[in-house]
Amino acid sequence: MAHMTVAASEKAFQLVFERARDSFAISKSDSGSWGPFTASYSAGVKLAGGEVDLQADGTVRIKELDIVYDPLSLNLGINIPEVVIGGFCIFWVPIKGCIVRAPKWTLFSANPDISIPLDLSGLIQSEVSGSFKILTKNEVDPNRLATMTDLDAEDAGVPDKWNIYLDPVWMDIDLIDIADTVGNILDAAIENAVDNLLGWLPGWAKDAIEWILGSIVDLVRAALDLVDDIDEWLSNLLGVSFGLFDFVLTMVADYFASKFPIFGIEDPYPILGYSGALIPVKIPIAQFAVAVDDKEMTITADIGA
Amino acid sequence: MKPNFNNSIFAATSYDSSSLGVLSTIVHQISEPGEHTGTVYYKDRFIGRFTLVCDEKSTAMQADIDLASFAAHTEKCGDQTKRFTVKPGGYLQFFVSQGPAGYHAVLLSQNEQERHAYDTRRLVKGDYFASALIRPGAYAVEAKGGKAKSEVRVAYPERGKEKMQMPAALTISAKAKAESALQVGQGVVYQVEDDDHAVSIKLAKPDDGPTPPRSNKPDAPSTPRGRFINPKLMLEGRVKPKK
Repeated sequence: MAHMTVAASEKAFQLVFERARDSFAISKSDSGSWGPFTASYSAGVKLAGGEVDLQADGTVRIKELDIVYDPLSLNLGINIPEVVIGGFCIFWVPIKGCIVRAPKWTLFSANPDISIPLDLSGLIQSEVSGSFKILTKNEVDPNRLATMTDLDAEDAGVPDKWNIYLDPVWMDIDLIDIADTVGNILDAAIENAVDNLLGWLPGWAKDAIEWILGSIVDLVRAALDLVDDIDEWLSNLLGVSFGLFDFVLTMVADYFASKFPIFGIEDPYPILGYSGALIPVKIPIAQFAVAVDDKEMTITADIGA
Repeated sequence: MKPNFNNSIFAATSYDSSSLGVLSTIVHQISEPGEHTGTVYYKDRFIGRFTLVCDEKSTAMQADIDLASFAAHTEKCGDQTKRFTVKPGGYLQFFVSQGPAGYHAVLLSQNEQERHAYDTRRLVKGDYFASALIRPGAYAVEAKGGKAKSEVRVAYPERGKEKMQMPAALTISAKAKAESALQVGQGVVYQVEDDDHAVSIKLAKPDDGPTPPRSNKPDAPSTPRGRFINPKLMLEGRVKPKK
């Protein structure tokens, strides 16, 4: 029989999971070019929600763990095509056709780029679900110096530990929600960018350019390949083109599997602290094991092996 | 964010063959084979030189000469002249790609019998003066020192969803005047029928488009005016404070 048994109910397990969940924070930025447009983003990713469900087969099921992208800034850049006028036929003859053609005058001396900044902080949410098995590791604190004794490590707050991690069996990420306002934000940002491009021109000149070029707003939307379904477009851009969702999934999996233990026990375990001239008493832990059933997580260990 | 617009295109309201600027061009036919020497001027100041080779072997029917390019070329390359080649019976096209108006060119030709010059300020029969007008409004077209007058009108553009299809250029002359309105950017070609004259197309009456609809917001209330009160009268009780 084990010397030590610690049990945590599903509710208690939920609390230790939430502590780990709330410590998760990553950031990611990237940029890329896709034909007529470029895009870059910068995202901060946090976790929220999530429900723990202990399983009879010894695994831990986590459901509806929200991925919150906040801040999330996306910047789209589009190269407006050259606008030229002229090039008309001045003199032509039958059969031969045009003999002399007018030169072309370029309205822009260089192809202008327009930039469309979008603040999508908190407007996109995805959700992770997964099944995890319990993984235990006896770990040396990375801040512990090689010359330290167990007592020195205790004093320095860097003792060795038996740590409990959640090792993913499978994980799944779903983009569950893009706020309705994103479409309006995108439309307003495009119109604002076009207005910045041409806003300084008199009204007749803006109308003339759009007469020659067509609607610049439509041109921008076409360059971005913006379909009516903004959710799908944005999901493809962030998820497929940038691979943000896969990155987040990998980071979450790695975090629970090796970065942040949901629970840890010092090894050797302190039985008695300092008492006058007496040094603390620490006893090694052996046969450390964790079992899960559908009601609780049980930690067993032998002391003083 | 502000792009580099070719500002002179938006500023131009007058297109004059004797002082060439953006959006207009002069077309002149060259028939004599041989080497011709051209000089380019900006506001009567010499800015560059070019050589035109009119060669039977050439297949080029058109040589485009951007007068605005000569100042930079001369600065960069010194006396090295630009060369253009065209076949006899081909056309020279003088134009200005950017910058303010004020250019002209002179082409010196010499054959065994005589030496003569062609000056873009004095168009000759068979020349063309063409412009692409983008500023909506009515334009006065004058030629022969004001003896021939006509008018063209550029319609205010209706902003549409689709990119427009540019109609063909409209050809006018002293005898045949334009009847219909041009679209923005559509070419207008003046066919010169007599020697020794200049053509000008000047904006006479700009069209700034439909007046923007008035705001439906109620007028802001007028600022209430203060009362000027003589303190002496107030102290005497002759002016009472407003309740």
